[in-house]
Amino acid sequence: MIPFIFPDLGPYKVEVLSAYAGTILLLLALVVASIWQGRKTRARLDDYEARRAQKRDSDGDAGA
Amino acid sequence: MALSGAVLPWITGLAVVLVLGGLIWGFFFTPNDFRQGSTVKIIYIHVPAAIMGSGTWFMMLAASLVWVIRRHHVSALAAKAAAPVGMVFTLIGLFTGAVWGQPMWGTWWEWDPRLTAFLILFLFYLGYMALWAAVENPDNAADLTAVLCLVGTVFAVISRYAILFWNQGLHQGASLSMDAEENVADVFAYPLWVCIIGFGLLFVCLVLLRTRTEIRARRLGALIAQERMA
Repeated sequence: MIPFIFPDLGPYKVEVLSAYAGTILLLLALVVASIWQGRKTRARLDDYEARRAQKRDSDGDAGA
Repeated sequence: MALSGAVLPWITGLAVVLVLGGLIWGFFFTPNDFRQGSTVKIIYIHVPAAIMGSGTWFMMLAASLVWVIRRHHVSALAAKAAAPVGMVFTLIGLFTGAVWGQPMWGTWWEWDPRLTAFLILFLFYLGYMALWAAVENPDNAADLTAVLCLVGTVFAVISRYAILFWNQGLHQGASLSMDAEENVADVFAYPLWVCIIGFGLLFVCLVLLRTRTEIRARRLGALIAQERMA
């Protein structure tokens, strides 16, 4: 098994780690926002279509 | 929608594996550069993000042209969906560039042609998204944003090829090139290629996901409008 060794970042530790941390945060925010927006829109559309179908059915029953 | 729904999980899985694999390889298993020290590890996020930052704009340009020429609604929605993704990649490129530039150049920022064009490109992304949000009619918004996209392409080109147009500024030329005499060493280049492909796939899966959302939102809007008309 290869032993886990954290790389020696020397005097630039803050720069390198902040670059990685900032990137990961921004990418995570983008991914989470995209998934959340997608789910919200899908739920709204499904809900709207279900209500529409229900209304159509009840209108059909009333007509018969 | 059926095809994109089927391929999306596979592309997402591959993107996650390549991005994580490339970053872990680059961060943990590559040596420090003899001149730049450990800051060379920023290359694995800065270069892919910068490539995708300008690359996204070219994809938006292609989609906008399809919209203008063929009036294909999905292409306009794909361009709209890609903008926030490109904006985030551009922001990552600017941020990591500044963090890398400070210890290497002695400054966070320099008004060099490539950097300035990249900053303007970032502002174009913000303007593009604001324009989509400001115009109520989606077809009018698609027309106006297509024009904005054409104008912004100038800065996308400059941000990528400024070093060829003006041989000045602090920013170096391409780190990886098929025809360059001098590329980065293989030990840095291999994980960098993995990260570039991973970021590219991440872009594809995010744009697919967001385009599907835009299509659903458009359908919802059309249904609501239809009901109001009835």
